[in-house]
Amino acid sequence: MGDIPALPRAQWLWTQKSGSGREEYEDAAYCWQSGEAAADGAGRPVASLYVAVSDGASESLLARDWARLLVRDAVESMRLAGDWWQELPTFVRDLMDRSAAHWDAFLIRYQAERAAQGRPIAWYEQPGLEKGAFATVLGAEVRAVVLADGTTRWHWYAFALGDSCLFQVRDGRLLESFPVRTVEEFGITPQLLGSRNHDVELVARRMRLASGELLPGDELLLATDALAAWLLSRTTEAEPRGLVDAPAFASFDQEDFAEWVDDQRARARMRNDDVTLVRARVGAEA
Amino acid sequence: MPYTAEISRTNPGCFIFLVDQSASMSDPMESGETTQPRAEVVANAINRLLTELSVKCAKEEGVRDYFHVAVIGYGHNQVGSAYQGVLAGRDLVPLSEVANNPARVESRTKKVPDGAGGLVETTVQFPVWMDPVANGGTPMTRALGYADTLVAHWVDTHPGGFPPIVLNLTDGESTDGDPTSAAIGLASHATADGPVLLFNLHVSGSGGAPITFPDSEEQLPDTYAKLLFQMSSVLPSHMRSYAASQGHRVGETTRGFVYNADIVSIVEFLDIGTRATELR
Repeated sequence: MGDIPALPRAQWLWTQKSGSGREEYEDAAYCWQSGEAAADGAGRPVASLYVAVSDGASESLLARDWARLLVRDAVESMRLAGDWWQELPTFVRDLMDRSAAHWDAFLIRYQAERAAQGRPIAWYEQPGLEKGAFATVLGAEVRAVVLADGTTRWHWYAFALGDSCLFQVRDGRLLESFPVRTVEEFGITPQLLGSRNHDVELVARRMRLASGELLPGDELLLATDALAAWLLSRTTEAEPRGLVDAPAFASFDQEDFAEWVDDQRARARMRNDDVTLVRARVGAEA
Repeated sequence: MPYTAEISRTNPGCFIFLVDQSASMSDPMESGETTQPRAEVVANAINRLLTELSVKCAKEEGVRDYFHVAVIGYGHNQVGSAYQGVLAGRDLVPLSEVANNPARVESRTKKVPDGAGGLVETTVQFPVWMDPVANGGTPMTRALGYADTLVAHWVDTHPGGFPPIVLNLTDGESTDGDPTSAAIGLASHATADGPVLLFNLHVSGSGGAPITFPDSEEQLPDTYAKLLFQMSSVLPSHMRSYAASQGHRVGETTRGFVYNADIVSIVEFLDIGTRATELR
């Protein structure tokens, strides 16, 4: 196998809704990259970075736990399936079976813990628990493949249910916005995966797929809806290559990010919500 | 744009329910095949509204104080808190306290889908904050005045918040004069986000088809219904959208008025965050 160039490092920035505690943050993100090269369906050496982002619906109970579980399961299902986008129903079934099993085990633990704490489930929680937890889910794979001539090509493959978004940015311009393309499409009733939803066909029908080629220097941004709407609102109208008027997230730490989000909220540019950004830049040396 | 202020623990909403407890409320309300004393209909509506609000605002650590809620009874020539149990005598109560202090929790049977096209009976917990009461006259004007005092204080202390919502549940026969002026006075209070919203549920023995969120008084059966319709606020645009999503025909003049029908779905009109909706 040829040498695989270094995979991009993922940067995860987040902050909770203003007025909420850090423990009340109900978005989730998870990143995983393979330590060594594998082979794709054509037998070529590949290496991948997997990223998933989820936004737990604030009106559902245990949304934070469901979102955390979904991002790990989404990455696991992508990783284990190889070219997972080729067989979407199979991928969706795998993800839903995996998350349902994990969720059932979680609920048993949760109810036992509550009982042990002397806080059994209250009447006002029962309907929410019966309804289940709800969250968006967005997953992406950044894949490097080494061609026969030794050169490396980069691609991304993504799936989405709901309004958490992936953006591809090149030289400060927006190349791709997935699955939401305009600010007007955001609302408070996005499509969500429910913890009690076992309708694989329906979820597969609603799930969106996209992919694109990456060049060295390209950035991928995965964001939950408040930041995604902000990004689309700050992009000039010259789509599909509008200029993105965003700060240099690469230099931000968590504190910088929280301060910046607070400032945008204070200027009424960003809706008050949990905010999550996962950012990866393909190395210029690749 | 009005009626877009965030409802949160730092910017809570205010909900005031006014409940007619006069003698005429012991008369039946006929709707379809069911006949029930009106007092029972409104007590059930209040208990279900408080339940739905609590469930909507429930999180793992308990019910969040997104709203402060008052239940004010009027009848028997007096106006005041209709809460029973430990909340008795209190006006606006943070929702977490409401949820944690029903007067009692009953077990009721309910038919739910069995997943195979049929129905199966199941037991559900039904919290009760208020029992049916029917006694004396109908001092609706005084009740609106009582709400006016609560609302005036609320908008003073929450000037930027979502405006208070007042929901009046009555059979419409005021005995202390025409309530129109009091209603206009009440709805004239405002926060920076808009004027107070006054909605009405009319439980009536006049019959006719149940009517939900009408946009004119033409189809309403009697003068009481028409008066209550005129007193009701026009639904703000986002509430119209939810009413439409629940299958109601709405227009720009649709009012927060319901005649002999269910009003509990109004809880769904309140935005506190991303809704937990099933994929369709």
